[in-house]
Amino acid sequence: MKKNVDVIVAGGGLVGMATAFGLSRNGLSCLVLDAHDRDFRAARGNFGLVWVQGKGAGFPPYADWTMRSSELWGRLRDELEDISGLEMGLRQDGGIDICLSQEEYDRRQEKMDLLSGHQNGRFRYEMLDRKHLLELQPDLGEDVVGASFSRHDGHVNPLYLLRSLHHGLEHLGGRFVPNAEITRIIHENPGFTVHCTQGVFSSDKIVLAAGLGNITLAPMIGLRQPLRPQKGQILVTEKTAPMLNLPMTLLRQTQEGSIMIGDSKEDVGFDISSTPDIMAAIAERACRTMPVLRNTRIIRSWGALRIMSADGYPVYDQSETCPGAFAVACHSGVTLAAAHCFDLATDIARGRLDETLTPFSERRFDVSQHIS
Amino acid sequence: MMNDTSLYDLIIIGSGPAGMAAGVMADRSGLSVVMLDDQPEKGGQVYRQIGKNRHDWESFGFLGRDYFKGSDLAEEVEASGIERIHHAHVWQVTEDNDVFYSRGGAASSVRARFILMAGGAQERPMPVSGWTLPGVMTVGAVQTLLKTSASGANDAVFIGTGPLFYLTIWQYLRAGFRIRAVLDTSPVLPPLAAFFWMAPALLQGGLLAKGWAWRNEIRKKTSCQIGVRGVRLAGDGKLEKITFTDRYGKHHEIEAGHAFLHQGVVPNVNLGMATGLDHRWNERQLCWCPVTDTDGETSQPGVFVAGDGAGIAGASSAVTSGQMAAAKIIRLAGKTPRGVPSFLRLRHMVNTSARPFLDTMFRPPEDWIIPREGDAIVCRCEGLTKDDILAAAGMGVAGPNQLKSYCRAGMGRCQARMCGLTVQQILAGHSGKPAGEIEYFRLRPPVRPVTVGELAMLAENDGQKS
Amino acid sequence: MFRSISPEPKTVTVYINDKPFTAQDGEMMASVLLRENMTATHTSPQGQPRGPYCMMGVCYDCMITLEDGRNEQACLTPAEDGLKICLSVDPSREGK
Repeated sequence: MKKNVDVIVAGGGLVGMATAFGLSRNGLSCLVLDAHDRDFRAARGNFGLVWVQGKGAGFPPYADWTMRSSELWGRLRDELEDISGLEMGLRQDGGIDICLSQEEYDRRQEKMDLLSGHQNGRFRYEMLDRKHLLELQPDLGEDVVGASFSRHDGHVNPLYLLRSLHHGLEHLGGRFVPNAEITRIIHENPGFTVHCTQGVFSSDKIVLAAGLGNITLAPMIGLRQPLRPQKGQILVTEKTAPMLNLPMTLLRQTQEGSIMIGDSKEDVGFDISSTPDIMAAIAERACRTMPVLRNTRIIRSWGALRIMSADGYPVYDQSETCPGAFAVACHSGVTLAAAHCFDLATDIARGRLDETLTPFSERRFDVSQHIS
Repeated sequence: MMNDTSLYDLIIIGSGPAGMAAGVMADRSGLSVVMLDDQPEKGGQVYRQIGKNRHDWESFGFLGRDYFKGSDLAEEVEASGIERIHHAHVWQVTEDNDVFYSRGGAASSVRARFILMAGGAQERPMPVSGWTLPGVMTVGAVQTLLKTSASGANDAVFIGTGPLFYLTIWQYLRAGFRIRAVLDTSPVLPPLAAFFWMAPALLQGGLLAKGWAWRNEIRKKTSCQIGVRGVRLAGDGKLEKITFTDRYGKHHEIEAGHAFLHQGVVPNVNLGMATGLDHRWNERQLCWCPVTDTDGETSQPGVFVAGDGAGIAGASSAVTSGQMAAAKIIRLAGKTPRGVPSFLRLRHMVNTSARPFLDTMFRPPEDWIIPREGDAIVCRCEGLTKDDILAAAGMGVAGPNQLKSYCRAGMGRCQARMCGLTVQQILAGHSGKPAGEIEYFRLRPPVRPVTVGELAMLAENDGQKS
Repeated sequence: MFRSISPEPKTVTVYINDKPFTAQDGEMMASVLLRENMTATHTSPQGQPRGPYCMMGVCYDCMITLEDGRNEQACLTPAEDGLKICLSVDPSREGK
């Protein structure tokens, strides 16, 4: 059967689109099948951090992968802004993770030391006591004891990133089909036939990047993708005068001026409702961090499901039973966008994931099951 | 949960005719009722400030007898045991029937076995080129100003169509204001379909006769153009002039500092949708309505909708729909409904009989639902034009929520109240699908802006720390 | 320009950008602004002036700022004696 494209990418979120853009950059013809308007779509619930500090303290390959992506991000921004003309508002001037108690401060210091040790000094950070922190960011609440600061951290407008990736894909001749829910994937050996609600398509390769949708799709290509949803809620304020100089893990000011406040980590299944108890807790923490926010109005809330593996790290695999099929999932679609575009996509293009990504295979879960 | 956990039998959100009628019946039947409203006085929009105005025919008589009909209902509410909380801005209703609201800068919650959402209607957006200019307002705004401070502006231009349009102009004439012009956007020949609905409409013959009389008076007493097209509102920093094409295709220009727009009203669906109630598309009224049984119970057990918020049907229908909802609520609460009018369902049917005729007669034509001009603003909050929306739609969107993430339409303070229906119609046209197949924006609480501090206080009062 | 046609009700003094104005007790501030010919209260993201449109709390284009810094809708802010509000519209600003 004659193929339609070189690669079909299932999922038009940040992971799918960054991968598709990367594949197109490698000269492959690409078709992205994106499902429905009201699907869970973690890409729409993103906070927008391009974050390094703290990541992979217990898993060095993730720390390396995150650092690599952060270093490549500027290049991704340049290429996309050239094509789309849209300013994504990338700032990589550093970021802060606030500590609201001495105990939290001490634990953080330990974690940062561990991370720094693994990375042989490549990861740089500073523990700032209250006095020094206030020099960087004034108006902090009296409960703020200090913070960890890392110059590698930053933020970007995640929605403009998604939109820019669309322009990028289109510019390179890629195709995007919405309302295309995949019902069947047949391994033709070689190649794949994909049945979806917008028709039937065939390709040499397939990449599953459908977030939680990967759970049902992965078995079709002989993989497992053991993922579960973790709910996070966010509050968004009205546009306000600039008051946050640097992004924080739970507080950042967007380029338009609104302030995003996070977050929660809830195990409630496939539920994305905004709940008053969590909204109140998020608001309370924000007021302790920055009391001047008290009179700022929240104009909308958000709830989305993070794509969580058992250990919280990405899951990247190539299928052994269906060569040419890949599955990719992570909960940091913004931070890892550059690595997905430049490294992961290149691996997929040549047909083989690099050995640096082997630690991210789903097989690591089988091993831990054996041990326990 | 949090804060006030005192349990009422019934919480009524909105104190217009539906809310008032339901509250009076529920109270009379022995239920504990609390009524929340964001205004300082009961009455909703149609009977705005009736409590204060009802004894002042001299100052407010120009509003007409229909307005004063609300005074009996207002008196019954005052005489009842309903607990009324005004200046209360409801921002969330949970699936456990907790109602969260803000008042005086503090957030509270109240819970009840039953909730009646009687939040009424809002003006249908009328995205005319230049509609965001200072000096341009809705006919509803004009009504509010007449009722609350008896104030108005001379030499304004009224643009639009529909019963409320004609009523307001008639009231303006009676109040003695000068009207610069009336640009009636109704087609010159009424739609044929309207005549099919004439028979049932005659059950409300008095209403139709009144409307007909107003329309004729307006055409006699004002500089009135019918079948107007292509309106543009223009000015430097505020409205200064209006251009339009008349029914003969001739171009006109009028100088004016005020323009008042109207092309019908649509239900306020934000609270209901954010609560997760099922809604359906009403093609005849070109709007979303909550899915309810004949008494107004929604897809969430114990939650009811009555009045224009359930579907546009006017003030008298709002009363009977409120009474029908209350009757069911009272029975579910294990009590006997008192004060139920005889033949309630029949009355309600009569009260709604002119609706299909009015809906068809005054249905906005396509080029008033979607602006013709590409530079006309669609999303007021974000300042997005029709061209901006089309550019985002052209990227391949599954629906309005994906569109929102590309271009920010619907992300502003008003939570798509001003742009949602327009965006839906634009996407329908763009995709070739009927409007009813395009879903709406996913709405979430808080449906009104709440300060970070108010939300934080809910946690602080509860002893919660994150 | 808006004018009232009802007889003198009880009046209060309110302050708009620190200037005193007379209002009816309980009158919504949007109504006061219109009567004083202030049809714009804030600007859009593109810098265009905006003001009261719906008078019923759904358009959010009548935004004003209260003394404590909270942004509020003028059509839902009743006049009280001594109330101070600020408009963020800069009268000298030229439309972009």
